[in-house]
Amino acid sequence: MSLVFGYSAGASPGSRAGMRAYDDGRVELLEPGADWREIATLSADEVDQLAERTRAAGILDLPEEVPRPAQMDGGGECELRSELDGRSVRSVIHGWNEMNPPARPSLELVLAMSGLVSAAQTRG
Amino acid sequence: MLGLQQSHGNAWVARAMQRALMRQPDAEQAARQAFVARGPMPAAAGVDFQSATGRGGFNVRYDPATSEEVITLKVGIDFRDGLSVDPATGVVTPNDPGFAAAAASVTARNPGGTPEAIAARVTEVQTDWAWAAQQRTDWQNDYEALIEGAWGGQHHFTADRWDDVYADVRIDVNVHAGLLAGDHCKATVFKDPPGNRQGPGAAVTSTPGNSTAATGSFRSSDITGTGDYLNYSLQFDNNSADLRTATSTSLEAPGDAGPAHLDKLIVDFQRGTPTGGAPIRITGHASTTGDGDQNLRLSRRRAEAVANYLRTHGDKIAGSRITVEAVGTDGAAADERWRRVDIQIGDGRPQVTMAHETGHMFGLRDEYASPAGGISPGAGTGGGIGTPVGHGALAAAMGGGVQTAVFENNDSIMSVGNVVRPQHYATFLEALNSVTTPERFHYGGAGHSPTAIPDLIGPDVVRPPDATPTGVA
Repeated sequence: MSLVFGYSAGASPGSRAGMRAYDDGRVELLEPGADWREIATLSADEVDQLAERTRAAGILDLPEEVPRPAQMDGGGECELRSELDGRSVRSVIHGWNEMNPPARPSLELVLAMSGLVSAAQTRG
Repeated sequence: MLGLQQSHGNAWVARAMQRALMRQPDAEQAARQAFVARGPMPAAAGVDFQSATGRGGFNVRYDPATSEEVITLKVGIDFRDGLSVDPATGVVTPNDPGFAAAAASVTARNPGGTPEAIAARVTEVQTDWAWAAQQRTDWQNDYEALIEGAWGGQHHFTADRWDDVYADVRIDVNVHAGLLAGDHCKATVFKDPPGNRQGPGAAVTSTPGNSTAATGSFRSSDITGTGDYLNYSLQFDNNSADLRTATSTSLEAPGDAGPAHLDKLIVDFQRGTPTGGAPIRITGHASTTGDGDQNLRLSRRRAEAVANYLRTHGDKIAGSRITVEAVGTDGAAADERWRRVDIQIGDGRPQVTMAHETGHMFGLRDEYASPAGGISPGAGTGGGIGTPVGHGALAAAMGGGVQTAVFENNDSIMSVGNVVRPQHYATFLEALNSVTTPERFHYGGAGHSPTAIPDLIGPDVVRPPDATPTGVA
C-alpha cells in the first residue's frame, strides 16, 4: 500500500488540515488538533484518476521547498506527499495561495481530490 | 567681524548682534506660522503613498490645524462563501482549495445520500460557510473599528524644527463591498465559522511602485484571534511535577512530551537583541483533589520544573525574562486539566489576524521568525532571529530612540501578538515627511501628543493624558 497523494496545510502543527489517499482507495482526513482518520474509500477508477492528476500536476517533480513569491506576505504553507511510481516525494510550498503561480497546479489537484472524495462520501 | 568693529565700533556691532539674536525667534515663529498656513498637506484630498518597502499603499495627509496625520485605507471586498452545497445531492464543494479538508469534514459528519444527511449538510454549509447580507455589513464595520482602534493614536511624531508641533496618527479605514480601481487593497474574504482554524492562509500581495494594487485573501474568522503563539500549557500526571511525563495541551502544538515542547519554545523565543526577548510568565496550577497546602507546593514545583528547564537549556532565554508564580488550586476544579503549568509570552493576547495583515497594507513586513524546530508560524520569513526586518532601516531612521526592528517572536503586531510598537509607525512617519517636506518630523513618543500646536490656531487644546498604547483590545 502506498500513498497516491496527500497534503496538509496550515501555519503550525496544531492548525494543519488536509487529506491523503492510498492506492487501496482509503482516504484519511486531518483536522486541526486531531490525528488522521479514515473518512471514505475511493473506487479503483477514482484512485486511477487521482494518480493521473497527481502526475499531471507535476507533484513528483517538485523540489523540497517552493518559496513564497517575493511580494507576498503570509499565505501559510502546504506540505505535499506522494509515493506514486516508486517515488517518495515531499515538498513544502510556502504561500500556498492562488496568488502564488507555482502553487496553482497543486491547488487544482486538491480541488480535484476534493471532488473525488466528496463523491465517495456521499454515495454512502 | 573685526572689520565691522573697526568701521562701526564695538557698540554698534554689539547692538547689531543683539538685534540678530532677537530676530531669530521671530524668524522661527514666522516659519512656523508659514508651515501651519500651508493647510492640509499636500492637499485636502491627501495623496496615495507607498513605502520604500514596496508593500501595500494608503492615502496620507497632514493637517497642521488639527495636528493630525490622517491615514486613509480603502479596502474593497469580494465576499465569497467558504463552501457551497448542492441542495439536491448534498455535495459540498470548497470555494478555495484551502477549504477542501473542511468540505470533507462537513460531509464526514453527515455522510451518505439519505435525505436526512443531505439536509444536515445543507444546513451546516448555509449556516456556517455562506454569507448572509447582515454578516457582510457587520464584518465591514467590525474590520473598520478593529483597525482604527488598534492602529490609530498609538504613537505621535514631533517636528524636528519646533518641539511643540506634533502629528497624531488617525486611521480612517474605508471598507466596501466590491472592488474599485482606487482601492488600496482588493481583498477576497471567505466566510467560515468563528474560531475555524483551517482554510487558506491569510495573505497580502503587493506591487512595488503602485499604491493601489495590493490584493488580499482572508477568512471571515480572521477578524478574531484563531491562532495563539503566546500561550502554552503542559499537563502533568496526578501528584507529579515530573516534566518528563508531562504533555503539551498547547493549541498550536498539542501532544508533545514536556521537554520536547520546551525545546521548541526555546528555539522560538530566543531574544533578537541582547536586551530583547519578551517576558515569560510561568504559572503553576493544581487540581482541587487532595490537601490545599500540598497542592500549592505541588503547583510551585511544577512551575519551577518548567522554569529551571528553560533557564538551564535555553542559553538565549535569559533568566531575567522569567517570572514564576504558583497559584495552587485558585480557580481550579478537580479534573486533570488543572494539573498544569501555563507559559505566557509577553502580554499573552492571541493575535488578531486582520490587524496583522493590515500592517502589510500599511507597508510593514513580518517580524516573526520560523526557526527550524520551533512552533511559530511555519510560513517561513527567511529571516533569522535578530536580523533586520524589511522595515528595519525605516525604524532606525525614526529618531526618538527607536531601534532597528529585527526578527523576533514576541507580542508585537507584526510578530505573533497585537502590540503596536514605535517601529510599526515607521511607514506613517515616512509618509508624513513626504508630505510636509522640507519640514521633517521624528518619533515623539507613545500615545497622543500632549497638546495641539499652541498659539497659532487659537486657544490651546490640551488633551487629557493618554493611556499607554494597548494595541488590539
